Amino acid sequence: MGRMAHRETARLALGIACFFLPFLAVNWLGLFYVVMVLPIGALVMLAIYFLPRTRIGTVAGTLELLRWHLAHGIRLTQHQVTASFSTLKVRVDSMSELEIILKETPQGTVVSYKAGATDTGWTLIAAPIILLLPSIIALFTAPWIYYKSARFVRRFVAPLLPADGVLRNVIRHDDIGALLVAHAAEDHRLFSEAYRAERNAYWDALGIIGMLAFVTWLVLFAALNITSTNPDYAARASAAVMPSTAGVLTFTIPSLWIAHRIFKPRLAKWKGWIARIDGVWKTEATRSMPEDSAPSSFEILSEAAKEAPLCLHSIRKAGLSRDRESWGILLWMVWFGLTFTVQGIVSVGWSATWQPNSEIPTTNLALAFCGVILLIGAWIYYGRWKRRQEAKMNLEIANWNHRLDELRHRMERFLEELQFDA
Amino acid sequence: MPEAVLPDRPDLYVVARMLERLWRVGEPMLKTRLQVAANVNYDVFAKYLAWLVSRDLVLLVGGEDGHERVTLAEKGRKAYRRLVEWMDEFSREGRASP
Repeated sequence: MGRMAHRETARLALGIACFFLPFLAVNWLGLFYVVMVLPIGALVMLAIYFLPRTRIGTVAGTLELLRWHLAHGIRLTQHQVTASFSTLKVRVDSMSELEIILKETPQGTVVSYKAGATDTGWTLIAAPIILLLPSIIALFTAPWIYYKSARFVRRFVAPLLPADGVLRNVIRHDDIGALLVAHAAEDHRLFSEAYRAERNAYWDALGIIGMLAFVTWLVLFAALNITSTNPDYAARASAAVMPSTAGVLTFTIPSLWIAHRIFKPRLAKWKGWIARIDGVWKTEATRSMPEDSAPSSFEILSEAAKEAPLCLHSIRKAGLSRDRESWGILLWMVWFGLTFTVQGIVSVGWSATWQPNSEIPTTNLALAFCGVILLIGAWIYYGRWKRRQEAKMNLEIANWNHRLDELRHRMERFLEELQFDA
Repeated sequence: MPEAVLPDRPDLYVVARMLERLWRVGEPMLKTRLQVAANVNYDVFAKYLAWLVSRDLVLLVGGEDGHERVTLAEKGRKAYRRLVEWMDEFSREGRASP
């Protein structure tokens, strides 16, 4: 077992030990405080695993060259890398992530890493901690996520650093294979992000439909209860269940079907592209020979470039939540529209049922009317917002395709003119 | 060898397919195998091959078995690298754009 593995095991043990450290206070405070102690232990453990940087080594070589060397080496293992000036973010798997930090010093470039989690990983860690008592789950997820990151460093990153600490024999930046690997890896990351964004949007849509169904059921159930003249509450409630459920299902089932119809082709499209780019990445990383009549890597990556604006659109849009101003206005209109409408209708229904001889109060009618106007306004506002977004996206796609056509013509001209500079 | 004239401007993908396969194989390869990789019929392939030879992108070499083989010339390797570089730069700019 190497030094790095020892360090990894020590930190795993320390983290687990620290999880139980706050339990010492339970004896003193009382058993009731276990609920508070659990998340504190989990947070201490998270700090031990995910905050400190761990040094991997020092390499004599420029930061830029080392960054390129590490990014290329990791991409050859078919892991997604996001490179910025002095850091490389590596997606280890669906839960673990890794940040490799490079720092230039007079002795050379120091390479260190910080373990981390993906969005899914953080959700699995954070959700139980927020719920206090289930924090015990973090005792399993956090060490596992840390262990996966640390193991990745030991297996794939540390061996990339030269044993004698001097960086040499680095593949040149213009090497065709290296360029294709980097291009395929970046495209893979882009399309994977688009797929994840679209999948999240799909689940969000299902969640919203579910929530709306629940709220609508409650409103219908309450409205039917209030407007019923039956003095027996149990009979009134049981009579309201069926119509409320039927009413909710009539809009929930078509809504779920529409959401499925909208998202399924997009998800399938990004999944198909991920598979194609994955094939290119594998071919280039392993330097293997593709099938005889298979399209070239250049061709697949060129075709993928056509999809880039749509891909970026999928990543960036994330629905209205990105456009906070419009989102706020719409949320306000829908919230008050629903509140006014429900309040107005319930009040009118109440008056009509329980005070049949009195006049229906005009303020309640006006309230319901305002609510309906607000909801219609929200619908129109959303329609306009959507059309604006579509127009913007179409313009972006048109510009992109124009630039792509220009590039293609430039390439063809370049090939045609080759004979003259022979 | 047919005339080195193509009906229209050369199809970028066909040229790229041929150059990429020759680069990947790294040694002279039989014309028939290259034709399969190019995924075009023999007449079209022959025109493209002649076109590539006329621009010194590929070379024809004789094999020990008497069959003529095609190999990538240094100019062809540079040309293919240039195409890949351009595409890579273009995509990188696109990914970085706001």
